[in-house]
Amino acid sequence: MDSAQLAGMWIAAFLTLIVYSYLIGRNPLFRFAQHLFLGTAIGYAVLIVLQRFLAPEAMRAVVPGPGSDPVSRAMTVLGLLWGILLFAWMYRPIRWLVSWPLAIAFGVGSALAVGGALMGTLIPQVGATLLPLRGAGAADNLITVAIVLLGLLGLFFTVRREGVLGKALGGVARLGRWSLLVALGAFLGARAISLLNAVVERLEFLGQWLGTILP
Amino acid sequence: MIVCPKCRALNPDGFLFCGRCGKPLREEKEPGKEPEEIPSWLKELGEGLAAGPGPAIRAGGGEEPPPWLEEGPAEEKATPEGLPPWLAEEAAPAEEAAGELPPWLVEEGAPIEGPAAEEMGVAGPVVGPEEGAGAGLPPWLAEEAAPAEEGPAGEEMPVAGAPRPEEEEARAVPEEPVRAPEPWLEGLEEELPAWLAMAETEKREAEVFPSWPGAPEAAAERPTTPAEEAEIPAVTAEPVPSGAAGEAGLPAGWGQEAGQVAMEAETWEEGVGPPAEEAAEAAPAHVEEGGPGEEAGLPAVPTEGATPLPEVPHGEFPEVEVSAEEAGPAPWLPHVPEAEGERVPDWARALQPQESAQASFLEGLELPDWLRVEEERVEEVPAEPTLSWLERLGEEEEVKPAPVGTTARPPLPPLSPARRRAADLFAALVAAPEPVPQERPSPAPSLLKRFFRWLSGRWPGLFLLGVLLVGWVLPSSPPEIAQENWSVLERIDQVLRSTAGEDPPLVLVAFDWDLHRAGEMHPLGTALMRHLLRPIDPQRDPRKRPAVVAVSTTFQGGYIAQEVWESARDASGYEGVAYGTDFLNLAMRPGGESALRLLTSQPVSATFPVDHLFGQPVEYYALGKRLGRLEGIDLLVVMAGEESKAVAWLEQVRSRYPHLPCVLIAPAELRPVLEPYMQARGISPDGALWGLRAAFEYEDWLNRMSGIVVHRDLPLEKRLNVLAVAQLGLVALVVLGNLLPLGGGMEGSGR
Repeated sequence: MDSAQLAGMWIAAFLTLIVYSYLIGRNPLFRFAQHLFLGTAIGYAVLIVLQRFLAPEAMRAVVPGPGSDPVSRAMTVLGLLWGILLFAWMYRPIRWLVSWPLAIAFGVGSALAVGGALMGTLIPQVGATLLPLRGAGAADNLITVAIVLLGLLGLFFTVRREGVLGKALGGVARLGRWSLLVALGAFLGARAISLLNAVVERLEFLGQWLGTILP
Repeated sequence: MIVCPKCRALNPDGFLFCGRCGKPLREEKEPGKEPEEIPSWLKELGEGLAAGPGPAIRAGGGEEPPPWLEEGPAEEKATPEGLPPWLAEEAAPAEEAAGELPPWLVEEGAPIEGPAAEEMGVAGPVVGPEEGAGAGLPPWLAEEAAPAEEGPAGEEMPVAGAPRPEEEEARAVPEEPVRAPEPWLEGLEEELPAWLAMAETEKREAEVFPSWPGAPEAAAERPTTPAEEAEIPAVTAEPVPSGAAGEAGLPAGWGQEAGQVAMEAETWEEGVGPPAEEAAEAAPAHVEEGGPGEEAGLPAVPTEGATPLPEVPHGEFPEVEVSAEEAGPAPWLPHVPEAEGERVPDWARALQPQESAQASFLEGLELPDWLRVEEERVEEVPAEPTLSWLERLGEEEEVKPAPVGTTARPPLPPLSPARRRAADLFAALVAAPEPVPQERPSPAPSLLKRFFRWLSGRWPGLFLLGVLLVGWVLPSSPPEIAQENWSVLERIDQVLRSTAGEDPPLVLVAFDWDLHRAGEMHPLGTALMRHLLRPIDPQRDPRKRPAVVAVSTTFQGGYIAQEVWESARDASGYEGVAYGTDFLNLAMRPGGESALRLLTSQPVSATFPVDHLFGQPVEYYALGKRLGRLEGIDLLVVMAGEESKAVAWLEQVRSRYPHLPCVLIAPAELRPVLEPYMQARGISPDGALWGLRAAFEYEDWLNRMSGIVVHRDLPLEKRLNVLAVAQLGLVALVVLGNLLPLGGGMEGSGR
């Protein structure tokens, strides 16, 4: 391990201890680490975007290389100008110009999200629940279909819980809500295990750091 | 005074509810004591009455009312000594009193004519005394006229212009309907006296009237100018017994027969009517004060000499004989003698309303003129001295405005002994210095106690930390490779081996996870990179390796990919791998789903134009020159640290290239969320690896299949062991946390 890696390990170990000092109480060191991480993340993101994306794209648009597509260059220039319009927010008389690039961004984003959700999630998942109840895996498919139906009935509130049918629907809906709670509990448990995994990874790192100090 | 309709208790004016039983007092008033519409000059005098015996009356007779109230106003004789100054001035000689007669009394001899006659229902332009005597009387008053006629007061009523012999004739026609009642008076005629019912009519007429005749002495001293004579109505232009009483003028309609009326009046005065002194003596108090009363709605006798002054029944008005010598305020008016005033308790004096306060209180109200207090009326009086005796009366009672900010504070009522003791106690408490809390000398908590107190709030975290340490110490047993993971690894290896042609297989790896997922994703990425960069067939061509291109849509993706690449490059067995040939880090592309959409529609080099390490164009590297569209990719590996990233790749890329071999690598936390995508046709990847256990099995599989050792100390095995113990501890913590409140009873669980 060279000196640079060793210095990095020490810095990382101290920052890890500072973050875990929050367990004792909120302290200035914790806030310092908080601000340090936030500033580092933002600075790194800005640097990455400028150095690895915006600057090369602008150079390719302004200085045409061999075999460059003029249409692609024009679109790049248009995109850059479109992005520059976002800075009009800082000057009130031309603040209205911001709505143009924002409209493009939101429109394209919404179209992609809705289209992707519809074609990539909704329809495929609905199809995935239409499982055959015969043959191999019939039991698994039956459980899947039953829980899907129970979950849907759990969110079905347009029928009064009166009469025989209403009370039966109410009981089934309650079972569906319990199935939803089981699913949410599974999500929460998985999240807890993931965080525990992160804690274990940090403890392992601290053990390695202590291994470099202790004989 | 107002009589309660329920309990018949007397209540002072101004009371809205009975002091004894609380019933509203608007329904009934004491008959004969006071009309419903009280003139202002009566109202002001009544306030003194209200301030005097109020408490006694409110007490419902519990206390003895003042003597003047017991005696009744009718029996009380007005004495000059008891008069206030403003009333003492009114006790003028008979000539002066006669001269102050208001015009409505003076023109008693005038016939009813014009609008007044029409309103009163008198038929014919001129009504004789005989006819008019009965015309102005309601039936109830006409009936009362008979007994009143026998009394001395009835005999001495010539001021009203009705000679006694003619009254009998007037009583002979008492039931003649002489006037049409006002619409609003319908139904009330039987309850209200006629003169009160005609108040509204008289008030309208009074609006066109000039001011009341001025002071008699002023009128006598000032010669009448021709211009003034022109303004004087015909009725009053002629000398009348009351002198200049009609100088202020009367309605023109009333004066059309001025000459005739004047002649008749003279005739009446000379022949029949008593002298002015007698008239003053004979006039009851309310008639004597009738000048302003006409303006306020008191009876206006329409015809001169035709209508005698109505006989006042005993129940309605007090009978007071006022002589010239004893002229003074009406004895039935509220006047408290000095001796009686002294008997009023102090607290009642304190409750007496102040005139200045009343004036300021009523300042903003829209009250009729006759309801205005004297102070406001003074402001309306012109600068010139008027001839009205009532206005002069007002001048006498000038109310000095209270200085701003120095309003006299009414004296406080005497306190009872109990309240005085309470007040003394409160004053003592206020005066006493504020007690300063004294700190009890308590020993400082010991270090052990403070430590336990600190531990009590952090015991869950400390419990989990202890569990982790226990798991670290416990011996571990390596798990077996799961069948599903084995099949995924076999699928990856099969793709790499099945690539035909000279060029090595091209693998696109998406590093879309952040460092907070490093605990699980970093071992997976390391194992994947070791797998991908190893020679496909070491025995045949040890240099032929798959080409790995790393892309990302997160900011940290490029850095993570570079770190993983360098860790594989430095490991043993990977000598000779080169950046740009075997591995190319194309950094990140902002835009999320839109960037992935671009990736599916254009060459990879167009979406990711430069590399992360040196910032060179993709075409600068040999591997970059191979990059084309996604169709040329042999294997797609998506390493997603978040659900949104995984879904974006599946929705935008996988759905467009369903035949492209695809493997998903994600934390174990996302498995319940992404499991439906694994079963969705068209977008489901060919396999998935979840979490740290998959990383350990990946390393184990590499060791078994290729002899690749990623970690010699097997840290993942120990970490899995720690995690297993931690999971058990977490479950125990959840169960314990739910059982403790139950063990503590319903008190704990109810919180």
